[in-house]
Amino acid sequence: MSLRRYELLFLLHPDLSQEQIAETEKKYTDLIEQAQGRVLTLNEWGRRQLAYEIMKQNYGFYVLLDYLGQPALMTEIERQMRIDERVFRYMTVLLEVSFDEEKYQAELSRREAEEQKRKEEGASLPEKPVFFNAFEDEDESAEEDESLDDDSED
Amino acid sequence: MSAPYKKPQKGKRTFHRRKVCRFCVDPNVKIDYKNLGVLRNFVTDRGKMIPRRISGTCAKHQRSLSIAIKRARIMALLPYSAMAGSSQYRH
Repeated sequence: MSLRRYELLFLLHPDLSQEQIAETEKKYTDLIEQAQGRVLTLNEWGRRQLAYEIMKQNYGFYVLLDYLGQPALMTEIERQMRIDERVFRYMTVLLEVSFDEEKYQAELSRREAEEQKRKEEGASLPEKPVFFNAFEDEDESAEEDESLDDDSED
Repeated sequence: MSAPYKKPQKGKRTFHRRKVCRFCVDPNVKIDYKNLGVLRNFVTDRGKMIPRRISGTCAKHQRSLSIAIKRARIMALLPYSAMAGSSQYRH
């Protein structure tokens, strides 16, 4: 009986009350517990602006759920979400096919150590920003910009 | 680093990106659909994905990037097109 590790990101209706949100979350965490799964993390991102309109809404409440379970459990969760009116988008990603407890603990402690570091450095790419504004007009102009600092074949 | 490269139509710039793949140099930067800070660097201001020959990413990472960007779009973290989406993604 190998437990798979899934990551589920779902979107709740932005106008739900704290209670309703908690209720909905509980519904799924209960589902997991009952099926001998295990909730690793439940992370609320909160209300965020959507990149495009969904169900006539421009905002959504994001929740990230990291859990362990059987494939059948995952199917069941998704099935429930499809029916649930409060959830209007969900996406499950398979993180690991077989879960290793030790690796997980190591990951947790490593993540904490990294968090400390990140507070100072910042998590984005350590390079200068590349500007792509000219890109849309013509392909060539983007190349022109870059050849200023790059070695080109000419 | 460029495989069969057809000659560009305008002028004879046999330009190709020699720069290294940003993910190959720094293994700490993870490609993840949730990692918008990283992802946005590979999307134009119109929301389109930036081709490998411009961004300098290696093939393997470009594929991961592509999947990640598409996932982010599904979850409305990135727009499919900046016209259809909100204006917050303009540079």
